[in-house]
Amino acid sequence: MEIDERLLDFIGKLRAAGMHVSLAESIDACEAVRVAPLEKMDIFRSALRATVVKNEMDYPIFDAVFEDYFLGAEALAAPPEDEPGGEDSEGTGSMTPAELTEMLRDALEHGSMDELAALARMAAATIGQMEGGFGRGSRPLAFMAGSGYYMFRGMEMLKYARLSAELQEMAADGEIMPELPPVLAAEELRERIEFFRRALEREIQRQLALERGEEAVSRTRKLPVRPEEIEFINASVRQVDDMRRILPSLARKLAARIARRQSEGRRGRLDIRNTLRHSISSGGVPIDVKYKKRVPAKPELFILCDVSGSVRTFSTFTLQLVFSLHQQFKAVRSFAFIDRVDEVTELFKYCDVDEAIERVYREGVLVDGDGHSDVGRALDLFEKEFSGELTPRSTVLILSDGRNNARDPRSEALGRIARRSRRVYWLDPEPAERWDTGDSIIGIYEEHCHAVQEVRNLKQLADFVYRRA
Amino acid sequence: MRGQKKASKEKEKVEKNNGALIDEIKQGMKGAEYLCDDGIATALYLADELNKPILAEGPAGVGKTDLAKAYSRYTGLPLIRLQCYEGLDEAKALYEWNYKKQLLRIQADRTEGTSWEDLEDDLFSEEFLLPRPLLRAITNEGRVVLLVDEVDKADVEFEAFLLEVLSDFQVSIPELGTVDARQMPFVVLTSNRTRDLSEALRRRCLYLYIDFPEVSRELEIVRLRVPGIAEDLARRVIAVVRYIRQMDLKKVPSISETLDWATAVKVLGRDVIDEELISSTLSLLVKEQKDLEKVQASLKSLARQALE
Repeated sequence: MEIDERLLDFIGKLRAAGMHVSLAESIDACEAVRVAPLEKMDIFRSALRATVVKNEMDYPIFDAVFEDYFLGAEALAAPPEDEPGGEDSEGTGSMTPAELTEMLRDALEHGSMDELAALARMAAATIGQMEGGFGRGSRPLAFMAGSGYYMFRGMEMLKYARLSAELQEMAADGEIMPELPPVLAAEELRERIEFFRRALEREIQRQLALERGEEAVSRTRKLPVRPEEIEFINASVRQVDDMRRILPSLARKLAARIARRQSEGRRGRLDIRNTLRHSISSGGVPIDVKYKKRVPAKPELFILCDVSGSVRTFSTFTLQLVFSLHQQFKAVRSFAFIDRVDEVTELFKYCDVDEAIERVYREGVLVDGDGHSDVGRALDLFEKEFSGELTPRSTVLILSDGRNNARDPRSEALGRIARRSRRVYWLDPEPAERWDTGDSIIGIYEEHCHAVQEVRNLKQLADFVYRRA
Repeated sequence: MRGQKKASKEKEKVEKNNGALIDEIKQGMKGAEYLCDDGIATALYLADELNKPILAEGPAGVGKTDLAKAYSRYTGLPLIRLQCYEGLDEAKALYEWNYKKQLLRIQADRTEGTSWEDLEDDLFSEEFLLPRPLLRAITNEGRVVLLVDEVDKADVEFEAFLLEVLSDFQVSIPELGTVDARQMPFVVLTSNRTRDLSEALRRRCLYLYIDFPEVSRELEIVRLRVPGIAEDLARRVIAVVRYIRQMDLKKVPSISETLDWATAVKVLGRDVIDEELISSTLSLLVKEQKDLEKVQASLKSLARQALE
């Protein structure tokens, strides 16, 4: 295939993975590879990246597709040269998992990256033997295990989690790579651990491609999701980490957007004094007209958040975001509930949101019954205890999936809360099409709220805050 | 003429081993005291070849602004800098009529009785034009490096205007006519991402995300920019900085702060980094009061990083 054609094909893959690549950018990419040296893979990748990816958040998607498309194909066409011959690889294949783990430990401690790559190939061969090959067997394409499954089995076989935890501990104590200060050793080790994991993943994908064909593999592969589009309710631990990583920058951006909107548009009255003062420099002609600034009214925020298992991640992130925007509000008071409600504002002053919620759990002030959330009861208690403090300037935010575990909704309590405050918004982390299915009774509450908003990911959360702040 | 030159340049490139071109940039930039990785060098190379602006994003203090400065030192092209801020407009970025001078001119003229037509021609001539960075970059005799710093701070309207200038490199001044660029400037835009830049602007640029460097590169940077620092000391400095970066702080130490601190440690002439030294110089690394308290609390483990 011509290089241009291949590039366009590659860009098509990027688009299919959800990236926006414009026509102008694909032309740039073609021009870039024409002038950029192609012999070095890294430079080729950088050149494409600079022309096609215009947002750092898209780097993981680009890298995944790139490796898949260019490195995958390359690996298929020519397996690595230093791979041992047929007999050798059978020899390594008969190695037991325990032996492999030991070799891996040595290599992680003081081996070269090449050794790690070689070990990844051996490990993949062993996984293949254990699982009876990487073929799809008699299973139909749709039910076929993807690379994730083999990775999981491999990590288990090598006891990789334990091994890396042990090594990391040793590194922190300065027992590994003694020539380096402990932090640097730990960092180097982390890189190696990640390198091996990626090498193994690549090797497994290569084997899958060899036995099943490219097409079948790319169908079972999951592409990374942008951190701001990860769904709160089924985020993995790793994804929650990703979200935590981008939250500060998201909050910063949001604060800047809100501040900008406030300074724009709403121009105050004519400031005669200031205008006259400036007119002196133009001989008394008022060329620059000055206006007074208008001070935006700041709402008082009451956040009522469900912290039971299913919506905890969502509540944590929302609280964190709101706290980092605290200067936009006159006051922020937060209340946590499961089947009882309690004010947690003070707690958040001393520790970060995660820690605070952990403490709330431990101290068990929120649970009377079985630990399932009871929205109705929590609303009722909140209304009795705190609604005296609501004023016509208060905005109430309720964070919950509205799943009441078949208990009494007590929506009249919400009605009373709504009448005492300026606005009541309900944020639901579930997709709107799942509302009012099963034990979700969001519809009953909806009539008392000014709006019920679907907030499945950080992006929707930021949009909501921007619109209402 | 230009075409010929380009053809010969092309030929020269084919003869040269392509990878060497990137290495040349790396070497040159190193001479200008800036260490590039493959990504940065490739972006510089492409920006020059394709005549496109570079948009550099990344955390504060990783060397985005320095990239433009170093490139200017490396190529010997003069640097013109446009610092963006909220409320920056065409008058401050492109050109402005010096209306105070014009007023003076009119007043001085009252007695002489020149006709209005003559006066008008005179008033809107280059004498009364105040060229701002963008116009200067375009009208400069030779090629320049144009640094548009912190574009994200400027308003959306300004961004749209910038887009127009960057795509045509020509400016029309109603009273004088259109001004074309004599040479395409080499443009670097930087952004700290306090807001998302428009898609259109991103499309026009080559994108470069600069992150904190890995250990080996940071070590090299320290040794390059703090001449005479002992290898061992440099490594300890970095160990401490990277340990602090792992802490949960509002603002983690950037490369420029690392360099400041490394210089301080070197100047103080100490070869051991102990608790007392860290404590007394910490304000060079950590700037927020709350962060300072947090780091002060874990001085012991910090110093341990540096000792081993």
